[in-house]
Amino acid sequence: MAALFTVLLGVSAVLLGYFLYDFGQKNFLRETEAAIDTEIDHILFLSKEFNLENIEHYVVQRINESDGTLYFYQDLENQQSFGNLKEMPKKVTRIQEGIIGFYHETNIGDIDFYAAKIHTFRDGARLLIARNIQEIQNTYSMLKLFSALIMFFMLMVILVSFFISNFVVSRINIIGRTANDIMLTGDLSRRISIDTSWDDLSNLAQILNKLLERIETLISGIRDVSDNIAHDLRTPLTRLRNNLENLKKEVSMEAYKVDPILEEADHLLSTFNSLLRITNLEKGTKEKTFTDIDLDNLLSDVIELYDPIAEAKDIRLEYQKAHVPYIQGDRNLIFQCFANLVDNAIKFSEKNQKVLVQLQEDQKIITVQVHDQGVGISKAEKQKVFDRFYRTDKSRHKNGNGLGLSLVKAILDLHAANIELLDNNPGLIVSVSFTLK
Amino acid sequence: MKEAIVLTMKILVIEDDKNVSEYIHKGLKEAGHNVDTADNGKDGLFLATTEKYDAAIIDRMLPELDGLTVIKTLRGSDNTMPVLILSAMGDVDDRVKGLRSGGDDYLVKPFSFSELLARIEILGRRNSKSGNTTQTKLSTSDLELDLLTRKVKRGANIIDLQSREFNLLEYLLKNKGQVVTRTMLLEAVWDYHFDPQTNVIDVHISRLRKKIDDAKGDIIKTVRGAGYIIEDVS
Repeated sequence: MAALFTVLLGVSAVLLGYFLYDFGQKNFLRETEAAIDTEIDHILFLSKEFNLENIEHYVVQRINESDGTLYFYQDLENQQSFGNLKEMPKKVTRIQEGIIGFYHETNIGDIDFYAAKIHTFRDGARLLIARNIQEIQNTYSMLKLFSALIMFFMLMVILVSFFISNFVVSRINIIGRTANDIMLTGDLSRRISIDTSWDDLSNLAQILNKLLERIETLISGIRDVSDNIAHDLRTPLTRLRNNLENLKKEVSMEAYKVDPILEEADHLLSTFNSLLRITNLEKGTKEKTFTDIDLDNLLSDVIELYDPIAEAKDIRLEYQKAHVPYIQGDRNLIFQCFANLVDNAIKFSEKNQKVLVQLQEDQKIITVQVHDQGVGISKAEKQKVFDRFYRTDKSRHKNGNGLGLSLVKAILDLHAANIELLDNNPGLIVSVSFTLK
Repeated sequence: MKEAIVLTMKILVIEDDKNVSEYIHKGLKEAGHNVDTADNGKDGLFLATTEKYDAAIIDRMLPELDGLTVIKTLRGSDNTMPVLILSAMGDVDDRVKGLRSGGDDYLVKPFSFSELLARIEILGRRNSKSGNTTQTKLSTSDLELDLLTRKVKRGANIIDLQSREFNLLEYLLKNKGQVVTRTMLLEAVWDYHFDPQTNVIDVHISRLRKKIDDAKGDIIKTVRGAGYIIEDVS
């Protein structure tokens, strides 16, 4: 960013400098050249009709007008010369194509710079016409000095702005990087590093740090609440369950009376565990256990595990495999995720329907789709199914606690994977995609 | 070759929650085991280093000295006593950490006692049997499983099993006389630690039963509220 800004500024400065220099060079002499050209044209016109005397006459007349223009006519062959120069100037400099410059003493004794054109007649005679450009020359030098100064200041501006923008951009980058790190790692204890305090950006960083501190306090408050729930409700529930189990052993009660109560307690506990597990996953600090996962292998295991259940329900469970690169993840969690999805698909399928699991890779995106031909999910419910305890109207009579898809979502969020619910008409397609880094 | 059906073990329980500790103590005693308890890490570590135990149940969060440190210290002094870690934290991450620090098994609170009993008994037996790993054939009544050829015979009939079914049967037979829970089967045979919403294992067992001609469940018995067992009748 800073570099780009500096380069732009630099390019514009060079362009401006070049423009000033070039424009000055070309245009300051244009008028002088034009004046000389007019006189040459005039003299040529005269020489055509009246010849040399007329030219001499004109030149003398012009000299008498004494506007500072110098004339010198020289015909070497005929040893003829006239004008207000004694001879052709000896030391000349080439100003540009066709124009020469030389120094000459003026009437008042100054040595001034003249620009001249020499016209050569057909007979070899030469006529020099020169005009005083000392003043123009002075202005031009001024201009050159002036543009050099502008260039210098521009350079200073560029340097200073480079340092400023570099400073600003690096600050912004630090803030951005820290924010990104916090999002990626879920580590709210991170802060933006501040080494100065005089500038607005450090001020902003300080405010952001305070904001982070506040968020951290709030989040840890929420975590404390859920930890308390875990401790305060789960433990007595476990005791209740255990005592019930003891009761069953001690009193020779018929099992059928106690077992349903035990089952109910187990169900309560498992719901509770799932809930806490989702909360834990949402804290999102599990990357350290990530390993390479062969999705093809893992999905084969899921299919193999659930195949007997599908078979028992007369549902065809098919797997369309593919060889895909490894993804990074926690294999137990990923297994749990697809086990839940396949389990759901089987749960909501009827006899003779098909559940298809499809693995494919397209341009660094690995997609796993679970197709079923069951009742599907209505558009209005698609967003809600990921909410905790949400159950669609059609699923209320089935087993489950309404946490299966919440767990799937939490797992996939942790893996930065995407989940989409599509229509299979009839049925549902759950599409999960992992983007390879 | 006859093995004792009930193997009496000496088990150390380090757990600070009195209720849980008593509950485990009572349960293990009823199952015929000797139990010592400690309610903090320091005392626990002292007991573990001065007495000889067949297995230990150690809670992760302990006063004085936390569970993982106790286990690490034990392993550091070459103590190979099997350890089952109890934890209220059910994260996979914690599980990995627990097992890495030297625990042999990991059980998340709340747990059912049958799960704990099944696991600790298998841990204790594994330890007492170590050294005797040349077994190549497993059997119960007229069912025989050859670990080398991976062939299963029932009487004179050869039974064709898929690899996973073979592993399932193998695990049950290896832990003959022990209750094996569904979670243990999932971890041992499928090698995934997860929570199946449906009772997938039951379906696999019933499939296996059909194949080995055991529809009534005489060989693989269901233990209500706990899991499965192949009884040791030889």
